Amino acid sequence: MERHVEAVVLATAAFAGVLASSDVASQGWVEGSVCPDNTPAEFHACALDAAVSFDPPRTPAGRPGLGGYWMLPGGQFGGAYEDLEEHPGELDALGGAAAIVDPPDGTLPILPWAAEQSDLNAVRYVHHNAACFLAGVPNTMYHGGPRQILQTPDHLVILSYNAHAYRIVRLDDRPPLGERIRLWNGDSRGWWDGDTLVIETSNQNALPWLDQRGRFYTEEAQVVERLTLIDPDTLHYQATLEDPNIYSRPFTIALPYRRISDETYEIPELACYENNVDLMQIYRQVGLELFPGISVEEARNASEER
Amino acid sequence: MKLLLRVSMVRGFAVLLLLAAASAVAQQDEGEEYSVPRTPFGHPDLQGIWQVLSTAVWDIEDHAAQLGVPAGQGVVLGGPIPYQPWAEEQRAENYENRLMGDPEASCKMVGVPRITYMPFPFQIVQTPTQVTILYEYVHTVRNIYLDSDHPDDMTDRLWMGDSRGRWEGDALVVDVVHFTDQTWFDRSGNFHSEALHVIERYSRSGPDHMIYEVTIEDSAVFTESWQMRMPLYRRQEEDIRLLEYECHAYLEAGR
Repeated sequence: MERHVEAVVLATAAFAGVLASSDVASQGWVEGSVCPDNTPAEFHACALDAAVSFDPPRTPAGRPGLGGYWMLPGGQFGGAYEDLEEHPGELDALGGAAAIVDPPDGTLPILPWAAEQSDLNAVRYVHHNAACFLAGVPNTMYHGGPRQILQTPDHLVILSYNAHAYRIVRLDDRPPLGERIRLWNGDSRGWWDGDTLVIETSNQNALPWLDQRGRFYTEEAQVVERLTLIDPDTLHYQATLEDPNIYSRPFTIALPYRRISDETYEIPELACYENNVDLMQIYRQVGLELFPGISVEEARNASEER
Repeated sequence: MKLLLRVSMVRGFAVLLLLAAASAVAQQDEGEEYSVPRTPFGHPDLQGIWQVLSTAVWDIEDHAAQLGVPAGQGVVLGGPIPYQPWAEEQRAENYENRLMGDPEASCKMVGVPRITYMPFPFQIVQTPTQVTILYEYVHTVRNIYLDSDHPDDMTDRLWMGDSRGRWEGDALVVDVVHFTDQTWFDRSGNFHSEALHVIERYSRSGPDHMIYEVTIEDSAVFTESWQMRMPLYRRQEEDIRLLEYECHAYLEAGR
């Protein structure tokens, strides 16, 4: 535990440094949403209702216009990024309500051995963000910091401030990549279900975690996200992760995305790795390693042993 | 057309075919003839997945082959690169230290224009106010804001610079400044200072080709401005998509 705290302090200090160089991590957003509550469960319930009657602004192609600059309330860290479940403020966490809306009690349906593995992960391995690696899906979507969505008739591109990460969601029906191709942010394809953009992601390398608590998934994880405008300046984000190797049932998280109010805002370059090349050396000095991932086979063996 | 009216239908059809074929060739070969398609909002459409086909990443000037390095004709126009005397020496030193000294060797972002001629594909996406280029190499992104000025209060030095673009006829012209001095132009130690000013010009010359022209200005390193020019090719594979090259993740995993 001591080592964990030491590493967390180091990581926190390093990123405080990154943040101090820029005030972009926390932006104001357009107030006056039909669903103003930022607590995931409250927001989610309200948003499901609001989406039914809202006729969104549309692109020339007639699709809801999701483009623009968005942020999660709470700024850079906090909430789901720290812990998908409800959690208090701690040394390495601002605290927050559960982002899980299904199961309704807000707890993660994680298999017992995998819960233990998560605890071990959090003390033994470097969090992907601390190493400036891509965050995977869905973590890349609730990693704090501003985002921009670019929308064209055949693509949705999501640009993140953090680690200048991007996702390209193709809006076509080409099948997923061959299974040998593994990507940090997976292979995503999207389609319109009425006024909701549905995104299905496969081919993840399963090296990033779901939160700071070391929650993880395997390469077989299937993630389905839903993006719905519920008023001109609020997006309802939902992600359902299914991975029977680690979770006893699929679970869903939900979060509000608020439109950044500064109309002149632009996402600046955050050269995460370039500015922190020595970080990994420091992590290694305190005994942390890179998370090697848990293979499907390892997961199945672990489940059978129980 | 008068000629066509005077010949028989059969011969007319054949002539039409020939004309169509000749016109298609002309469109592909002569940039001036090519009618650039437009986006729904009326801008020249540069979207898609592109890549260079050259050896510029090893050396932007003429170079002979070495083990693992294909020979190549330079992409610098005229040449040699007009280095100031001290910079010529620095370039030679960089060349000697290139295996470790090249920022690419430690997986860092490679700057502009080098990112364009890295041996990886990149994808262009356009909106009415922005041209964004997504590169496979270390998920580099460039947001080129249209018809806007560089922020004059910017003190940050950026790996990929601050890019502002405008349409000049059918060409996208991009002005890039606010660079770090940490990137090189190639794996052979050609370099610049923080004073680097890059002007890029992207012009479609056919359905599957673009001409990429770059002007380099840096009064701290060069005696005058100089230029590079190369074609960009549209990737033809039906199922092509941008993948990932997370260089530093592989570097760390190997340690």
